Amino acid sequence: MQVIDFLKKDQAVTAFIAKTSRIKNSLLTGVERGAFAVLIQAYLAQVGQPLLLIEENEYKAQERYNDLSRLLADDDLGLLPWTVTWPRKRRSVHRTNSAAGFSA
Amino acid sequence: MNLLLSGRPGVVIATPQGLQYPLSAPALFKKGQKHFVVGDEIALPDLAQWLNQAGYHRENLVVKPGEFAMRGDIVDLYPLDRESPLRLEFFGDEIDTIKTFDLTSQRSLEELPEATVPAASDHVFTAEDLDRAGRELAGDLPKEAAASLEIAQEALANGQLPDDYDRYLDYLLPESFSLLDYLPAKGLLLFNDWQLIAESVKNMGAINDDYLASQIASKMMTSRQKLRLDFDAVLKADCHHRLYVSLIAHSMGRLRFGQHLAWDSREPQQFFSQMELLKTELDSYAKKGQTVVLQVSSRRQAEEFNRSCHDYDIYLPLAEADGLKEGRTQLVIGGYASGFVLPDSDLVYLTEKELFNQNKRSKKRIKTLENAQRLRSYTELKPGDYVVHVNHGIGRFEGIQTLETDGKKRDYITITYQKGDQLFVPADQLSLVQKYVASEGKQPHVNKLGGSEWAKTKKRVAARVEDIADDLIDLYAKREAEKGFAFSPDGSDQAAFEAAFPYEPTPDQLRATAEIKADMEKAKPMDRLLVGDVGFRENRGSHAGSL
Repeated sequence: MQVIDFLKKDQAVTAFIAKTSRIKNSLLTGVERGAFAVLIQAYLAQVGQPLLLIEENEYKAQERYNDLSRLLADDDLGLLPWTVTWPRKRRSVHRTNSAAGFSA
Repeated sequence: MNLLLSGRPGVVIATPQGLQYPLSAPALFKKGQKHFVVGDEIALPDLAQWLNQAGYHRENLVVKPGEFAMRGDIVDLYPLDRESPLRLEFFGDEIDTIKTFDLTSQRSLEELPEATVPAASDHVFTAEDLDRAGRELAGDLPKEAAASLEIAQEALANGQLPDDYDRYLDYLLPESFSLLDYLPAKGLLLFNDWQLIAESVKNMGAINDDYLASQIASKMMTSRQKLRLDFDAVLKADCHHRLYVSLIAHSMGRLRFGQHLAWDSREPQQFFSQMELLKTELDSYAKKGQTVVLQVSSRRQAEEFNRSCHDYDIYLPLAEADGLKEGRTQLVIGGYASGFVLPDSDLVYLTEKELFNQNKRSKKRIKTLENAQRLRSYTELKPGDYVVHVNHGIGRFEGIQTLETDGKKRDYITITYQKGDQLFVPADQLSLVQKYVASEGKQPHVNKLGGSEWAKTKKRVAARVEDIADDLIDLYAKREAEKGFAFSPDGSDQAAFEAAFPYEPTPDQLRATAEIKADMEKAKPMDRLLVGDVGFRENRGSHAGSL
């Protein structure tokens, strides 16, 4: 058994996760930091769809990324870079970028 | 963005401001990626042109994501979404091999049959986009517009992207899309603590508005430039299913929920290496028939922990992560950052954090933060420390002040520049400030606030770095040609010697040791400098190398 298999004993959680793809807004309370990672793993295994996770700020996003990076494959986890948080201060990746653009 | 578009079950983490970031149409973004398969044919000049268009920057040697290098029939490129760069070897116009390689050693890591390379930019613009943006910006230019605005307009009119092109997204994008447009229809949008997110949106919105007003007043921007999408409008237009997660149930405003579950997940007890307390609790869990999993991060740690446990009559079988036994107490090598208790699943999961008060090291960090002395918190600074602001240069950190503007109180990092000029950086813009790092006791030159000195320094350093890279390439080419003595690989004596060390090496130390050994086994002179604060573990590395 894996950790997420133990969640199957908790019918309420399993049913709740299944319904997230049918109900517009779902609310889950009582989620501790460690259990959050299990919840994400269980969602991915059960529903098999991508998930966009919004954290309050860049620091929390990075912390969450660190937590999940130990559990998910590199290709299955991404973090929108901090530069996007402050677009007005952002500069293009390359100083001399003069791409003429792709043709439509 | 590629992960979301792929539709694979994965997770993309963003902030609310990430949702407000205007993006290109997903279909156009998809066009900006290329799929390489061994055996495919592509002319090298065409490949170079595509890489340029896709935002990759040509260098002599690939060092960071977003760069590519071409040497004869070899093309090295570092996609933004990969841990390691790719090396494409050509035979004529045919792709002969595709491999990942190690940046430090330049050695191949893995041979791949194919690889998809995304654009090195989060936007893809057509030539028409640039042309239209140039014309429309020209029409909106205020009288006596700031030089930066005129330069950007000129670049666009010439079919080029300005360096700070993201300031002109309102002109460049014919239609703005958000990250939600990249999330497949069946994907889930998860908000972790909605109340804090809503507060963050409000605060950042106010900051952005102030910024826009000041930029427009100083004619550095036009009134059409908004820089970001309206958060409420983005969510209103979105049809994805949403999951709101929080620790406690608090006011969720006008949100209405189709289902609500109060999950019983708990933080486990902290043991702080108190083995007697651990024994008592493990006995208690066992009596209740609960499944108890104790996690360590390596086989070696598992052996050491088990030895310690034997002194307290605790016997823990080592289980595989996918072979946990229900109702048993067991040891596992795993990757959870924190433990948890799930009473309804009869599961107690303890990590090193709860057992020994040890925080696991991050497996990796995102590329944009790598190799930077970026500050996590202003508590890392003390008054008098020198800091570097990305736009204003080196100054002295004075402390944190709470200032009131428009009736709102906010924390500001205060930095003093030449002649006592002060810069107040909102504490939530900490990512713009780095701690100044120099040899001990060396006083840096403090920049002038608002002067051009810092911009010139950055430009000069960039040019010098290029020169150094050229010199290094020549030097390394000469060293590669020299012969040396190849030592034999590790034997049993070496393994026994290393096994006797009492401390668990960190991943970096393991890597350094492995790299040194690999160097010594080559028939080339070793050329490596190992840098670290010398304690037991560094001596361990040097002893291992000496043996």
